[in-house]
Amino acid sequence: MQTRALDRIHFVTRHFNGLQGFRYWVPLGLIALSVGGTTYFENPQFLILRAVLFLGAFVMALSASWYYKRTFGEVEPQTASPAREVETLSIYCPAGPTPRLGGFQRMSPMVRSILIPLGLAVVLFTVFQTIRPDLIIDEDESLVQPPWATLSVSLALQDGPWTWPMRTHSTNKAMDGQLMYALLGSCFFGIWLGRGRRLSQSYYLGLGIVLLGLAAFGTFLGKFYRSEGETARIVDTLLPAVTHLWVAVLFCGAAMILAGLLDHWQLARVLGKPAKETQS
Amino acid sequence: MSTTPFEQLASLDRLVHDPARLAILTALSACERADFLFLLRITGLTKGNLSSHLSKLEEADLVVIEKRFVEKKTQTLVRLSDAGRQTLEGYWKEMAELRESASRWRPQNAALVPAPG
Repeated sequence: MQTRALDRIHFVTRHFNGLQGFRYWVPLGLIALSVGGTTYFENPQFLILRAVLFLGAFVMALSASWYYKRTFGEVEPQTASPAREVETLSIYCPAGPTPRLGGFQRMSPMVRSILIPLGLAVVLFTVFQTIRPDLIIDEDESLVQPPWATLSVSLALQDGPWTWPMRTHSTNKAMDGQLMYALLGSCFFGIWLGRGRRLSQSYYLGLGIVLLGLAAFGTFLGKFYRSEGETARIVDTLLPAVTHLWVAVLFCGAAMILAGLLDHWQLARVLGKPAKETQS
Repeated sequence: MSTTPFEQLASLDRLVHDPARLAILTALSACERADFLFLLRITGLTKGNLSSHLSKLEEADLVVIEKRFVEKKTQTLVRLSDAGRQTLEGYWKEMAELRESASRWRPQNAALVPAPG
């Protein structure tokens, strides 16, 4: 038995419930896709698609729970012992005051995975709300045409001092999308930290960076805009993703599904197939 | 008196040092308790082997085995006992010491070591 194998056993057992991708991320992603792809457009076909995706997500969440229990068994996660938490906070600990990170790592994974994204999201939200959006975004979401027909966005630099209530409806929606990227990105980043910054979990880091990057790009869009009315090519390519709320929801949904599939793959790879009894 | 790495290796707890039992104990140390099916999947052992190893660990009071009925079927839940947790921690401490002493160890009389060829 190699040390690496033992490490993998320890990791999978510790995060067994969180790695059940078809139980959490994939259904959530399907719901996000159904909301993002259909809510903002009045079309009967979209309504059917939305209903199918919603129903599929609920059925998947329920059946996945049964599937994981039947296929891989059950694990009751470790609860953080209160005595341990007090010890990490106490300066009277026999080993002396423990470093902050050490104490932080001794928290239960659940507490850590909630605290990190919440803290990061609060900071990002504050930053995004205080940054002045110096662009006016004008979108066409007339609800009677297919989504792809609304992808073009017109931008205009804002003249004069910006005041809070002066933002257009489209700018507000774009900011909601950016906030969504920031929240999901920080959540993914928090999961990567909470799972011990392992190489095998680097897809959470990658997805987190992409989503946080999109949030930052949307916030600083004005810096990439040229006053002559031209925009850089990269800006043109990424513009729909940071200005349309529905595209942001689709992106987030796709990221959730990808994370869920990779989580499940990790679980299935380590737990493999049960060994068969050899007949003598 | 200092001991050689070989003496340390010989004094390791055989009950824990066995790869299959070490895998079981490692899995149990990362959770509150796990059921038989999960241990089967994570260790890659057969049912018979897993049962046998669990019995040995239970006899040594390293694990606690509980049985309960779920949907008219028996579910076996296994958890690490306090003694088991201490034993495992002690084992890893010993392994760390062994690694340390093995990296420092040099043959006392190098001239007696036959040259290759």
